[in-house]
Amino acid sequence: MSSGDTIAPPFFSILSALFILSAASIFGKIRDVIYFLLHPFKVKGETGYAPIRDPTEDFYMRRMYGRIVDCWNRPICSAPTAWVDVMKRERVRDTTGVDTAHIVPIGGHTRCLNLSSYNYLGFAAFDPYCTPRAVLAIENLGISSCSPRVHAGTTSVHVELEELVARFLGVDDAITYGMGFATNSSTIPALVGKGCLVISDALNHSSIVAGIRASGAKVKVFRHNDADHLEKLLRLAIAEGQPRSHRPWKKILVIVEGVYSMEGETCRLKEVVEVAKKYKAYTYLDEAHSIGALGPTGRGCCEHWGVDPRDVDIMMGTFTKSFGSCGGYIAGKREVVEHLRRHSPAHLYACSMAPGCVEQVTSALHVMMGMDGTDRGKQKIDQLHDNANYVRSRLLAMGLDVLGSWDSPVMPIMTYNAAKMVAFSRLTLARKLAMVIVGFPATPVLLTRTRICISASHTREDLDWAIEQMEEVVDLCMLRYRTKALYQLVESELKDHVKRHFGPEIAERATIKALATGELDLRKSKDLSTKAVEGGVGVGIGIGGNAQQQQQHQTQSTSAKPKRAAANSKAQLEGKGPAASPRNGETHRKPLASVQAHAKAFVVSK
Amino acid sequence: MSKYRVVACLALTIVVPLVSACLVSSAYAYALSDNKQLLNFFSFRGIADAFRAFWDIVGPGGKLHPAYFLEHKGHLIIEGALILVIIYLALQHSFKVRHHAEEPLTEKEIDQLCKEWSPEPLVPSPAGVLEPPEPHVITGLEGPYVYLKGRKEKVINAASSNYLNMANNKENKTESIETVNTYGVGSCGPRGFYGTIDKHLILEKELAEFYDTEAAIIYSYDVATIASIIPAFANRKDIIIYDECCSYPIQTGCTISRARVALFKHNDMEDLTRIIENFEAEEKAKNKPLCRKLIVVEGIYANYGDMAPLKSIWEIKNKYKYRLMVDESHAFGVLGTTGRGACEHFGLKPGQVEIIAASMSHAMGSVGGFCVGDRDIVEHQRLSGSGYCFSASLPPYLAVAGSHMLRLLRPDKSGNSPGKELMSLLQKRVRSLRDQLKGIPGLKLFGGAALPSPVLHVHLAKSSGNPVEDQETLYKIADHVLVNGGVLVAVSQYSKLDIRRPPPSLVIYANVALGEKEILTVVGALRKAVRDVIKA
Repeated sequence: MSSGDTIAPPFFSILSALFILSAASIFGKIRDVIYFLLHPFKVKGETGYAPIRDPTEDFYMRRMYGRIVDCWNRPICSAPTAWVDVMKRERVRDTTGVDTAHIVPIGGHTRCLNLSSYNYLGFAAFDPYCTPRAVLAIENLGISSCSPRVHAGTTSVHVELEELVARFLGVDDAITYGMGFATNSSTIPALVGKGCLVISDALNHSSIVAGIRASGAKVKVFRHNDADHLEKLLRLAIAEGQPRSHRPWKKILVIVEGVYSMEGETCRLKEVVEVAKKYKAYTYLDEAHSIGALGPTGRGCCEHWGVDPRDVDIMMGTFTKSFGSCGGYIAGKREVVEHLRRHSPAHLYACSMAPGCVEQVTSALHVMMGMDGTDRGKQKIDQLHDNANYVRSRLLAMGLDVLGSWDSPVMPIMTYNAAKMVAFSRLTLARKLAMVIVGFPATPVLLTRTRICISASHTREDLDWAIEQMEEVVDLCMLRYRTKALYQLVESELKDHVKRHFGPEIAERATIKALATGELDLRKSKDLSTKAVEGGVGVGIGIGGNAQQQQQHQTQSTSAKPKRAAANSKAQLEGKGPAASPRNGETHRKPLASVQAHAKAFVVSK
Repeated sequence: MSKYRVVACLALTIVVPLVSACLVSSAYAYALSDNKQLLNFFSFRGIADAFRAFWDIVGPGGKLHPAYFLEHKGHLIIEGALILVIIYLALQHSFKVRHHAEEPLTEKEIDQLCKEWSPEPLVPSPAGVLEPPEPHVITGLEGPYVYLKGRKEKVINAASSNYLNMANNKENKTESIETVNTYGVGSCGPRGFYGTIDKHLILEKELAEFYDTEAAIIYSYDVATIASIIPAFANRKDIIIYDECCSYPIQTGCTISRARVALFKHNDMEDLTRIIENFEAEEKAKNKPLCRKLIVVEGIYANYGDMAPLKSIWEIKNKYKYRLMVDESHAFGVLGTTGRGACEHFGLKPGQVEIIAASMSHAMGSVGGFCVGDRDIVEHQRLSGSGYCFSASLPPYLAVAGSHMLRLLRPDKSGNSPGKELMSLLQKRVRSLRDQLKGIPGLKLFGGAALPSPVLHVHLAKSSGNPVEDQETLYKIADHVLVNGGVLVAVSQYSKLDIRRPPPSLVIYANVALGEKEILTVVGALRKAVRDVIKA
């Protein structure tokens, strides 16, 4: 699919985007001049100190970002599950006038469909299996151990989790940290240093960049997801050696991500690992978004592509996303993990992961591995893929320029224009959809986008309702940028995807349209083609069938607490719930029904 | 070069005679056409005539004069020639004299090189390095005691920096559990993308109120807090000066920022002044524009347990217009009348120190970190602090635990608070621990007995001179203390990434839950262990 480097905005949208940006900056300058005329002697900050921000950045913050500050950092006051309570906010009139925009909650909240949290498997809210166990861990082991792992921070739950992670991933050993960002930024310096080379994908996450910077290793960047370019760089790097001294590199580390968070694309792991192996480079796979979300049993990118996890030297991942907790892990060969236990600063100096968070991950892993005695884990991952592919096909059918790969729960929709992005965000919030928009500086100026993250806790009704709402907004914002060529490309990718996972017979029938209209139900076909899958990818598929499809409503989406449901109906009475919007007319009933179903399911499972 | 010279010589030998022959013949022809007397080169007059005739052609008005040539479309030829020259120059890659590049490697050679290259192993082999013992696995808590895996009886925990015993506080736990039940465990997103939960906003507001600053910001992990704050306030052009004993997060923050970094000797104000003056002189000499300048110190040094002389540092900072950043991790909730930390302890008012950062995993009994300061300072981090923007936010129940601690510390109308009592109790414990630890023969307490710091680093009195050997001795002592005395103490362990490895030490943390009885046990066990191990 169109990758980060090759997304080309249409010519007219480039023009309009540039026009909007220059207008905003010209007006900003004019306002600055007027402010200066009104307060000619006012000086910001103490004299003798350089300003905290450099003037350009300061201008951007005040006059550009300040206008659209309401689109980010929206606070919520509920668990980040399928439906969230987004708090209402209001802009505070700035007394100084030159400061950044200030926006504060004013009380009250709106219940919105959550299309933004990384709650892929739906473990974010109360879970009948995980939450009681996490609570027990807090009770037994305290809120925090207040000590690094090497002192008194290693508890029985930590040891258990590390063993379980290693087993889940199929590697020797694993080490866990209390934060995903710190996992990358403290592990990379412990592995590479001066005289080493890191070859990093162009779209790698900021934590990887921080880690590389802290390590002192040289870095080269290869084109996003382009294994050929990687090979070219590797050959050149090995042949030329270190810059200036031309000594051979001590080691070369190739760093890629499983699913790129702003593109939704899965890494072409097979090619990357092949190339790296050929040239004796080490691979570092960051599975922050892919662990739990990709692969038939949620084991991540390796399972998705059929790569042996032992071929990847370092498997990194986080517990924040799929497992609804916090922290991260590094898994791999025993000696690598042992080395990290001895030298990783986050292991030696940082407070160990809070026991409650640890237990949440352990129990989520239990569910995913079927160790809780049910097949909820299997249901969750199937539901996630089903939801993700369904929404992707609907969005593509709607004519949106959607990035990302099939099965990936992250789907950015290109808006190409900062103003459209902001409009989209505000209009969708007004229609009770909580969505994320991403603009400069996280993406290039012209490649602004809005992003949907799909969760297993979304029901089909939720998603249908969301798409219906979105359709109106898309019309208003004129976002149908998808070209015919893109559509065909994505469709061929779909056929490939289905062929790999479901066998060639179904692949023939696989079209975006069939998926969008529901003619093709991959979840049902999965059971029919179990044999084909076992032959093709070599991943065993557990039971699960049409009968469970009906039960699924009850077993899978138990993440909603009765309290939440009650709060929802109460909010509805007060005119705050999804039912309150008069514009929504009929549609409101569907999401509400799903919440009630959740509540019922909870009672049943109890 | 010589080739060019030959060409030039040839050109000259051909062109010069040709031109002169041309000129002479044309002069001849001119003279003939006027029916004048034949030129006679052998008389003076003849030569003069010849010259005149020549001048008629070549001089102003003559047919071979440049002006005539230019007027009759000759300029076109010259302009054309000039254009050709320009095109030629434009087509050159550079105007420098180019060396002959070495022949590029052929594909075959690159293949060979790739085959020959053998990388170092991903991690160095652990052989020959002192193997630290496996950390003890805690299976349960009971007051100041913990249960360890493989041991039946409980042991005293002197290795947790749980100063105010907040992490095991019953009410605190109940509140946290309630939060877990309603909000779940994780926040499932960064702060920008619906990961801001009301509990975070409450904690931030309470922190700002507690420190009497305009705003506060919370991070989700302690080592990432300072390592993200520093790069937000410094880049290549800026200056950071920090104490050489600062711990790893500060070091890595400075490395990531890529600023000009200088280290001053531990707690040495003269050295700090000297370094600042060097920088000032350098800036002045180069006439550089004003850059951001930052001094970073720790309130209580995690790796030593002593304190920074903040009052004098503040004076220096104020004199030279540097910004001051203090890591209050171990001092927050411990020092100062209201528990604001070392700054308050030294009488600095809120706002005098620009950036105060601290970990939430010590006195607060939670996990994470925070930073307080002016709105400018805090709001800037919300877009530039990479550990804030690009990381999932703090689990809401950990934020609630933080709020709980702040509520305890907040004074009521009469100025008293349960937190204050806890703090004075902690000080009592610190004093008694320090007093008794000081007297153990064979050990040396860093910083002495008078320090109010709850971090106690105990070194060997007689170092063997080899840190690895010392470390081994300390491991033995710690093991002895645990097995025979039933006390869990920590042995400091440093990463190879640390710029400076402090001498090996036993680390003991004071804790309000450690009563006098427990302190006696700790000290007794240590005394016995030292006697047994060092003698053996």
